[in-house]
Amino acid sequence: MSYEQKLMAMKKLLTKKTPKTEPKKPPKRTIPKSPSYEESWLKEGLEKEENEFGIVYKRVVRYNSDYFHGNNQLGELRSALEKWRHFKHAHPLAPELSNRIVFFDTETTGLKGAGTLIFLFGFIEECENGFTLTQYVLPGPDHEAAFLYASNLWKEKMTLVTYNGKSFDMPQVETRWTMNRRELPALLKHHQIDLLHGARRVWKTELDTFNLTAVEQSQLQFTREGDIPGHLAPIIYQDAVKSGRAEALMKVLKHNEWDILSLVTLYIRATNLVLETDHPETATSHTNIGKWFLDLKLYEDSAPFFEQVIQKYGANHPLTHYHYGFLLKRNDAHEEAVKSFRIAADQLMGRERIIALEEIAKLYEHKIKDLQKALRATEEAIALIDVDEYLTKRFRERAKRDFQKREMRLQKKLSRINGQ
Amino acid sequence: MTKSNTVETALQRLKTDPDFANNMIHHKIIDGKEAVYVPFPEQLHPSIQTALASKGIEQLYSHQREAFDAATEGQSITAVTPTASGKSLCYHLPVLQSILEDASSRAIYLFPTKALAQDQLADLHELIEASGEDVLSYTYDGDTAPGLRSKVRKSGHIVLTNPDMLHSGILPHHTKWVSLFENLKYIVVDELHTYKGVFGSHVAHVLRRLKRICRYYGSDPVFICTSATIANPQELAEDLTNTDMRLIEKNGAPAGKKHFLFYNPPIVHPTFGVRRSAALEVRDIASLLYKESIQTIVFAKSRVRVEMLVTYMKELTKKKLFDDTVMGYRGGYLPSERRKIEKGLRAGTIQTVVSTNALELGIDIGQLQACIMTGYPGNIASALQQAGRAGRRQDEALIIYVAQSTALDQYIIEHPNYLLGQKPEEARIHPDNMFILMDHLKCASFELPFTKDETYGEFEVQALLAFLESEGVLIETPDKWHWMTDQFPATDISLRSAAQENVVIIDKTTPKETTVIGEMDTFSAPTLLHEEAIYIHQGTQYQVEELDWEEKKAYVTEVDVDYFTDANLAVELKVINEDDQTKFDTHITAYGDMAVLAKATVFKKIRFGTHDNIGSGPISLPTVELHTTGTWYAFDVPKGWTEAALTDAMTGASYAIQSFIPLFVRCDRTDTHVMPQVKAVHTEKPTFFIYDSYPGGIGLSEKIYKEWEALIEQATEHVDNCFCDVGCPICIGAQESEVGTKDDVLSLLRALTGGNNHVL
Repeated sequence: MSYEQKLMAMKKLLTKKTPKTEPKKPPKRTIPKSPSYEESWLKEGLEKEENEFGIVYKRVVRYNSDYFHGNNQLGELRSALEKWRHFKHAHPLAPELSNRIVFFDTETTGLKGAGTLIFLFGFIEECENGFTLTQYVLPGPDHEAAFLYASNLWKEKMTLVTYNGKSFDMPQVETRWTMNRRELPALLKHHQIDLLHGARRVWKTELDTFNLTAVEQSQLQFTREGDIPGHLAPIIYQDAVKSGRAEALMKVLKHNEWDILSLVTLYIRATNLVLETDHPETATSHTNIGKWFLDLKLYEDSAPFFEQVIQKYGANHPLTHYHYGFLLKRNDAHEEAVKSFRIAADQLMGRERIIALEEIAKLYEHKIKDLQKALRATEEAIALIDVDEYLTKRFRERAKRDFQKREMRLQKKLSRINGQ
Repeated sequence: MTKSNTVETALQRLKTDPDFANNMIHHKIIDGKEAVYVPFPEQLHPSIQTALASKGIEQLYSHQREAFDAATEGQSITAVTPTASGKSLCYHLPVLQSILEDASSRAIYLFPTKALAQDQLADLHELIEASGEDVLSYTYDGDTAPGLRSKVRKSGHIVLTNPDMLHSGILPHHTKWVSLFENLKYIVVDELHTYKGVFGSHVAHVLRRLKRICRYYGSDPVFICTSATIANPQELAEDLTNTDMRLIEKNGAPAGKKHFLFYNPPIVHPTFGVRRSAALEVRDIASLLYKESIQTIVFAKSRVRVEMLVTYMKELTKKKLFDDTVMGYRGGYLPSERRKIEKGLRAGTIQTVVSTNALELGIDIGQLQACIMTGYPGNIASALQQAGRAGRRQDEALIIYVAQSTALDQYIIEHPNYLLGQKPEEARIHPDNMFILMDHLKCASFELPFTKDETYGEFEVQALLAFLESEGVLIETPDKWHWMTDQFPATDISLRSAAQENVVIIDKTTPKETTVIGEMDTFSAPTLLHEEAIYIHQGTQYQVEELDWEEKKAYVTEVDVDYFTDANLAVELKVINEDDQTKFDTHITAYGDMAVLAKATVFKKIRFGTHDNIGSGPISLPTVELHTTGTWYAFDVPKGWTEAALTDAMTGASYAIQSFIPLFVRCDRTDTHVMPQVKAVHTEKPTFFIYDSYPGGIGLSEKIYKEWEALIEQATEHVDNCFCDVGCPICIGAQESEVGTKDDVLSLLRALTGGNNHVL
């Protein structure tokens, strides 16, 4: 029978109550019993933990500090944190050192909405003799309160290091907490470091994709073997609950373990890149880091990254000059800024080229007071706007309008001078 | 000279000018009434009183006060509010009162479209600003900036949105709206009458889900519905919200005397019954009114018609530079353009506006002096709403109905009291539709697991939840049914259709900017979206270039051609279950579940105007199956009829019957299908079938089941009165040859109705 036919047959099952009465209150909560498949799941290597809200399953793994994940040892975290201790400014990667620093990742049954459950929490944290991974597994959809409670996210403020946690994991945690808020103590606000954002800043244009597995391979020299694709995790969990068999689920736990180990070494690597200019890196990522500091208004931290690239490559990396130009302009080094923007304008295409010309025109008009040169840069830009095919329509229209205004103003100013 | 004198003068001109006077079939007058005022309620917050005073309002209309009193007592209400009766105060007042008494109070305003919500926000802002209070109101829809969303969720006192957004953007994410749902005092359903048919049935479920979420967060909001004049506002509101309603029917707003003119374009070709184009007549009448300086709104049926009429009318103003006294108004204009037109209408700088039914809904343009309707808008309620645009307070208003050559239009010219003398249609919804119910049961399960003893709205759903479990959608635990797939059910369910899956219509006219312009249910798609079909979307013609049936995508490009396409559908009907039956002497009527197997076979290209067949082609698409509800009317073969003659006569009769269904149930002509069978398998007799065009049925044929006799009588009378000789598109459809089909149809219909008369 087709779904349609089944539904038409179901019509006979549909009954209505006396109209317009609806149940008043949700029923009182009781602690749910262990699921029927408990034993079979525990056999796969899970432990059972009990708390006042019921039960949760757990897996704990310990690593020594010299454990290698890719090219880095976990123990290098200590020196990375030491570097942050000496860095006195606010930075998206900077931990709150008074907190416990915990690397955190979840697995969920879907992508969004109140019907998506978290079924796996993974935490890695440094402990006395190395590092400990603690994973909590949701025993079944009715055991959510105990599962959430076990996470300790209500207990003390932590610094949580995640990958896309700001837009995904933490909003999910908040949603689940809201669904269980009658039972649970309130969720705390934790300090968050999102390495996806960090990775995007550092490796922009260098990597095509920022999924964690790709970043691992290119930046951490770690390759997974026998991993399950992340998008299968929801189906595997669903199947484990329905069939009571957890073999495949253990692979999801392994997947999650690798994810979090990568968070640790990715954090170490990102810290070293950002806080040490002398690390051998590509011109692109150094320029990206310089630009990041520039956007954070940490100008002094920004300069060395640009200068190092320029020293090494001269005019051959025009994007560095483009960003460096803004820094020079800010430091009132007008002539130097024009030089940098000139290099950018001559070698770049698209948006950056036009903006570099705009900056040159501005500097000549307002700072260096050479109206002829300002006009020339303006005309150059106007000519390019129509032919540069890398420009979006919106940018093209706006830039054209602005430059034409500037052109008129400059011509007026010039004719006034000439008329005098 | 005062304005009412001008209406009087214009009326005289129309009635004496020989070009118009002879076509003026009826002139009906509806008397005006005085306003009924009452003082402000004592507890009305001083800031609100200040705000009202600043708008020149010192007292309320009686219905506004009645609404306030009932709502603040916690009684859900439905107010019937004709155009320009100050309906928005019916809800603004209690809502603002609740927020000013307790700043944590929240309200949701629901409008059928995004544009309407955005329009109403301006109105609300004005009132709030005049009150000097800090009340935050926002629209929340696809256009809301991501940066603003979290502010709306956390601190918006009044959230203006639409059912689609509530369905897929708010309810599935209710955990982000805790402060709204915990403190929700009012749910305002504006334009209640638009929630009918499939859309209304979906919205009924969205509201049941909303109530379920409110209950979870501990709130029990009061509903305030406002509706245009329909036959059953209270029933519709109660069905839609599953809440007891108090009906507020007595309207205190004043109304002026209204002149209704019924105008039929002259016949230019008597044999084929061709009349002069209604659009040209409308142009001439509107021009006359323009010259008489009467502020006029002209309603046209499509965007194309609007543009056409505007072009004609602009001829009048072309000698003046920058003259904006004639404007068009339709969907597709930019919001800023629309605002400008609305302002121009209120200020009186625009004298003639030509509009689609976009202006039927409650957009505030003030009141005009005259209204011209190009054709019958399909139901009385819409006609009255259009007419309501004319009439300033105590002044006289002129409403001119210009008939087109369709069956319904001509019927109304013959029976003006049909439009004026009776209550408008019922608006019906059918939340029991299994397909719609199941869709929303999934959404509700996603939002909050059902407990083992929970009901949903008025439905006992435990058996249905068990069914969803067996389908692998839900997981059963000792206490609850849990959602546990990675699907997000709301995105797969469109409120505007009952079909499981829709064909998406993609415009690829500009290759780099392909856009989705619409959707169509899979049952209608083979006849309307087959390759080479001309698909008309809001007045623009598109040709279907490719129909990817597997992927359910139709690719179209814009064209400008002088023909339309019409596909033949081979239909097989099966009665699955007979729910009810009534036996008469000469016939049997029944009602039940049906399966309709339809296969599009060939299509014809038909030229506009002449209706010449200018080409055809085959359609190769799979058979589609529709499970729906239907009603049928079976009768014995009348004496002396051959099967062939009966087939032709039944086909003609079906055409006539189909035209009149919208008179009996409020629906569009395409919401039901009529199918004649000279020997039906189920009844073994000649049988007319009428079935709902939507999976599961939406209650239309169930209603028709009880009105077969009246329906057939109506069709008989109409065919009888049609002045054509051999049958025309107005009565039994265009006939290819003159073989006396019209007489056959008529004698068949007479036999059927006559049979009824001879029961004695």
